[in-house]
Amino acid sequence: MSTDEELAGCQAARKWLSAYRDGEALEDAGAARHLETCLACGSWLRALDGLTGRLRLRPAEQPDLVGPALAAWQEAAAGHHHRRMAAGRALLWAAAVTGLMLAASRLIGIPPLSERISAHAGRELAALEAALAVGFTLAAWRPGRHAGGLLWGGGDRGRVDAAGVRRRRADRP
Amino acid sequence: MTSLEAAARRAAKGDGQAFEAVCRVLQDDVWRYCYALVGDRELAAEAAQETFLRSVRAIRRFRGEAPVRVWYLTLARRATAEVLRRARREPRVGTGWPVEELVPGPSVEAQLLVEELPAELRQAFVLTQVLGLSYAETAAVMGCAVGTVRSRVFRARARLVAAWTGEPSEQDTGEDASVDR
Repeated sequence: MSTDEELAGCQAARKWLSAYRDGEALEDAGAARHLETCLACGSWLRALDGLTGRLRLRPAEQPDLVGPALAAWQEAAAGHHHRRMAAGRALLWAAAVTGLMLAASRLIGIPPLSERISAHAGRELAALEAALAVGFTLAAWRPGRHAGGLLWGGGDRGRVDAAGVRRRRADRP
Repeated sequence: MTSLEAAARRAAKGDGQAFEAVCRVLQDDVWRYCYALVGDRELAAEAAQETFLRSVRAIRRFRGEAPVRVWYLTLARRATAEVLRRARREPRVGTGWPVEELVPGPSVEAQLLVEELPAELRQAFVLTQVLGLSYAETAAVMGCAVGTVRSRVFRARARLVAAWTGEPSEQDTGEDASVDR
């Protein structure tokens, strides 16, 4: 066997061993036999083992990577919450404006076409919608303090609407 | 599914405590890898920090297609590239495990040999031998074929042994194309 062939055999066997030790190659009886019988490869293997043992070093102290990441996380979460709050407040402002427009339209005598109610009931509804609009305004202005009042106002508006529906059903021939 | 993978999935849904747990488990690996990539303590710290800051938003898109460790190391590679671009400098050599005490001895000597490895071989060596990634995971992080990883790990070993024993490294052809797939 020529020197080149021997070197190629050594290289193939060592390459197999490198992957095999990492659990990335299957058994290779030929390569294993070569490594057992080749003096150069035996020497190479001993050097590799000695080197590997010396490379087990502990890492030096590292910078704090978690703290800044958590701060960024909390900042992002706060930004997300802020955007949701802003969207909610925009909706409340829109509801307040709509409520005021509805109240004003009833007071000046142009109630929604679908509703046929008396003038007295119209004024009552106008007052209720105006109050609800004020509630929306307060909730949009200071959500933490006034949002709870909307439950009461919304419930009251619902009761009035339900009463209107019942009345219209009763008026049907 | 490991607890780390489960934590990553919870973090993807906005669980801050799970995100913290993931960061704590992976910070050592990310730091070592960044250090292996840039070979400079300050740049490595910047790159590792950038990796975790990017993960704050990116983790929302984590769906578990790859192990979370591979996912983070891939993020670290991109973040390091960005940091290097910003620094407008070539990466210097370094190892994946800066020593705690620089006392003379065989360990430091062995480490210095690793510092002399070309960047690609050093990356493959650190990912597989220090961080314990499989060849497939390493290939995913480095963006190359598994056979290329196998070849680079072998070439790194061959160079280290040659440098350690003072013999020439006749095995290293310097070509990834010669790999066994």
